[in-house]
Amino acid sequence: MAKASSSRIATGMEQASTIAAIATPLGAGGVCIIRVSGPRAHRVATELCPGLPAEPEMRRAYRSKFVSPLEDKAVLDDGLVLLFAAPASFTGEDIVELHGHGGVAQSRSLIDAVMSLGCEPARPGEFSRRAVLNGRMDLATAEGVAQLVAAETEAGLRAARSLLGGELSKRIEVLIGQTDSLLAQLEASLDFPDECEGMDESRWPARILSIKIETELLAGTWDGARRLRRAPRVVLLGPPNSGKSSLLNVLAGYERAIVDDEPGTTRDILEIDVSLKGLLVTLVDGAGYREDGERIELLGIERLANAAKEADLVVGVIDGSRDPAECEEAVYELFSALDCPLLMVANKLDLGLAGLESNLVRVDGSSWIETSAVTEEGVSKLCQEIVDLLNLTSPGEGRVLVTLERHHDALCRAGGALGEAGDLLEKGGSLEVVC
Amino acid sequence: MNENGGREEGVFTRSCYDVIVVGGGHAGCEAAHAVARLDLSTLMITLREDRIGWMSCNPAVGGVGKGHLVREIDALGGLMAQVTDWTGIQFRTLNRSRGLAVRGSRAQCDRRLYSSSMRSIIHGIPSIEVLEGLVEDVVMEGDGEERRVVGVRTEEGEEIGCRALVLTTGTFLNGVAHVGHEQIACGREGERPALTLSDSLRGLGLVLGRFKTGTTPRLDGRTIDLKGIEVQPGDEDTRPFSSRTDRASFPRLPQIPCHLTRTNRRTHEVVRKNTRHSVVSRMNESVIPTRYCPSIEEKVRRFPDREGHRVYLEPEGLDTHEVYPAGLSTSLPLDLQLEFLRTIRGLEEVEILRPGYAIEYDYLVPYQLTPTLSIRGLRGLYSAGQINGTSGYEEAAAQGLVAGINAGRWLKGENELVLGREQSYIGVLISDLTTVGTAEPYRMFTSRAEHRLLLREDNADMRLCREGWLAGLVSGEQLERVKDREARVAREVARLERTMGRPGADEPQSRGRVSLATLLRRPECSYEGTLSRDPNPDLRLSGTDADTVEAEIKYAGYISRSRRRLERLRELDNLAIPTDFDYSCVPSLSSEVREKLWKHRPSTVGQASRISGVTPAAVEVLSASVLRLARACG
Repeated sequence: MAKASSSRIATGMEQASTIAAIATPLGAGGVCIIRVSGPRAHRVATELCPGLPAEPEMRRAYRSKFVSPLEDKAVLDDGLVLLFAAPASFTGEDIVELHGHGGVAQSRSLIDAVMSLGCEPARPGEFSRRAVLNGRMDLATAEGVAQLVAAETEAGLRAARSLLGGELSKRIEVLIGQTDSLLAQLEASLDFPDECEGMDESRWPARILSIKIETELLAGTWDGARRLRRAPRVVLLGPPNSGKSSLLNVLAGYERAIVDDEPGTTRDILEIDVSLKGLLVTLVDGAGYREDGERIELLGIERLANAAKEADLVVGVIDGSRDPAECEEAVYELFSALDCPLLMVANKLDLGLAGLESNLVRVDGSSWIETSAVTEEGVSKLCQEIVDLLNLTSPGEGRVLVTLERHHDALCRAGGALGEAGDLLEKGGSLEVVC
Repeated sequence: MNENGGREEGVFTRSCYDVIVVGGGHAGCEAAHAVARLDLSTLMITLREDRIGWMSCNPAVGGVGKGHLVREIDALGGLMAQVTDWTGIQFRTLNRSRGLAVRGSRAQCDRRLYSSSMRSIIHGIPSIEVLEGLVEDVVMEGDGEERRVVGVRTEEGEEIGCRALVLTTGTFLNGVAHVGHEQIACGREGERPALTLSDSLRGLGLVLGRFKTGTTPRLDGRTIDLKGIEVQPGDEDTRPFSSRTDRASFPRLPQIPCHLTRTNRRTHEVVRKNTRHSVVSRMNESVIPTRYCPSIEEKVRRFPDREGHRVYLEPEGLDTHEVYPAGLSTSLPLDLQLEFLRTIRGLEEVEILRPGYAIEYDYLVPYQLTPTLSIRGLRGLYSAGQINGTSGYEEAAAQGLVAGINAGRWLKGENELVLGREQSYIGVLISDLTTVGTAEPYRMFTSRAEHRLLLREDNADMRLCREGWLAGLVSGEQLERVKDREARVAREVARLERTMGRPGADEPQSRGRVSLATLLRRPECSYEGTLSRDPNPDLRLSGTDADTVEAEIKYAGYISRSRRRLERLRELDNLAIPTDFDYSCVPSLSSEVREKLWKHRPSTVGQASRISGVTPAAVEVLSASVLRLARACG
């Protein structure tokens, strides 16, 4: 044993180790699955499971007692055991799955038994990493696995499944194919000037452009797909003292923001995750918009503007009880600068509304909702509108989406390089530089 | 001398040479010359003395990528550039409309004069002896890793001793020519093949493959009607290939034009109908044809939609009627060659002087070579040229030069010459051969060089002259001249950077003034184009200096980017893989990758990354393993 492990160190190959981990959430679940991968995995199974036949069938569930590897062979649990043989397994290595009973102490005793048989605890993502290294899946697919596990939303799950199915890889393969074929033409025209006639050089810039647009479209889905990585952000914006904080508190169901009658009280952006009609959203509240605000509040405004950039939906809140002319211009300026869906709210319905329809409807034509944070009138309708609007703008089903930072970054760089190449060609730059 | 060499005691009838070069083609001449320049005794053994430096295929040197090689050969002190300059009857720059990095110089040469000039150089060197003969065997001494070349055995059974041996056998190893249904064992047209040397090499444990190439029929120029065919004259202002050639007396020979005609549908019809008579349809599947120099049969098959292919009518020399129709390599029977030729404009009444043919031959699968072009595990044995799986005179000459230099330096116990990929096309050529191998006869193009913007014809001397001087082939005086040139170019680049251009005639005065260098960086602007804006026109450079200035400024941004990439690559190149590294201990490598690594045994991770089929992921895994191993060993 000692000899084997020292030779492993000498060749520097940690992949020869056998890893194990509890694959199910630790807790009071009904079933606990322990996964073991590596050259010793099947040994572990035979040691622990006396119920296994001498030559077990692969991919078949056997009922067995799980016994302690110690002298006493004490029975630890009673469950199912499955074996997979390399390379036909998730990681490409020998794998064993032990399905025991759930429960923290129970799971721990089982994993301890497994570890005592020469396994090492798997680091996060190590099963997938081994699968990638063993050529069982490509990196994009592995990232899909990670996302699948971590997806918080239904649409996120769809995107993860599409990544898992290799759809992003397929789309990118097509783009790579087109680029390669164009590149081959460009290079051929350089290296075989006497033999390459009939190539239509004038079409090259257009072909580059078309690949670039495709690449950027794909990269562009990243923005839309932000929602898949986290709950959608709903930002409450509006003039000072329009009652955003009170509204947020009503929506959140408890007192969160500092509420005061004095304009400009709220100085920190507040974020809170709430469930609106079953949809998880992050509500963001911030400083009111005011040109002559104090310095500290200006800082808040700046941060708010950034928060609005990240917004999936902006709820514009104004004080419906005041003469709209007072704030119209500022509101208009602020809201028209945003390029995300907007929902307008006339708050303070309890104080009476002052001729809204005539003046403010023209702010991007959005519908108006009248609410009162005090009486909670209209709040339920607001919730419904928020949920409806978010679902309306939810990233479409069946589309390939770029959902990981690494992919987005690579696509953006590719798009940039293609753009540069196209520009150079257009300007009559030398071909050898373009390639 | 011992029994293990399979040789009886004391049969050497001649004195022992330092180096024997087998073959007198482009590789053989460069190798013999390089060895002789290192003051070592050399014997060149060739089948026909009158074919030394013979151009077996088209009578032209250079081209895109190949012109680069010729200038590099010159910078290292080789012969090809000078002989081309002396015997050129048309000089042209290809890709003139493209940037400097991909422009290629090309020359039509007088075939006979080229060969006779090369012969007189070889004969003029006292330390080179030339022997007409056929080498049948390589004689080795010692066992295992200690095996070492001690001589060759000729057809007559004579054994000739040597301390190092350079094989430059071209297409002669087991050569078989095909014309129509006829198969003739030959080295090339009218010459005998080397039939037993292949077996001798196999006996040494070497792996041989089989390639095919071809050549065109030779036409009687008197039967070509040039009226109405496009004339293609040379360029007026081309520069010699060699920096040693005197501009004043260049070109030496009268310059004559080529002509350009093309095949048409009728031509293709004749070829298509008769392809079954060609070797293309019959050749053993394991013989791989040259993709980059396809026969007309293959062109017709692969590009069925093309209406026509270009045919360059190249004169073979000043005092011959022979014309070489470039682009019409074929192995059809003679009567069909004539039939398709006569469908081509200008060739309606053409007569063939000698038919075209295809030739297949053995080559040494090049992963057995080291970067010095010695053969792994057989000390003192080097090989260069087509025997290593390449095609083309320039590729052959470049290898011959490197093999000759290295055989000589190895004998003298000095450092051998290994050129980098970022340094030269020769480096690209040899590293491709030794790490990637080749699935078809290897031809050089600019797209093989990842640092192509650095590797230009104009700066070949600046890149390599020092190496040539270190190797002992370039004089100190010449090195000084290159250093002067470097200084001149650097001064001019600096001047253009700081000198504000005068406003152009058509531009308003008010427009912001920019430096001449900034002007030059505009895609549409050339060094020439900055003349009218230059306040000090008398400081300007001309000729190759001007090219280098233009390239250095225009490519500056890309060159620095390229250098940054190079730095990253160097890190991988510095990551040495131990010679006894066990790839089977890296379980995450696919078996395909592992097999390739076992075969090529790269000495660094950088080399491994250039082996085709070795994926970036495999490189990551490999570097991680190598690093871990290095740490474990402390």
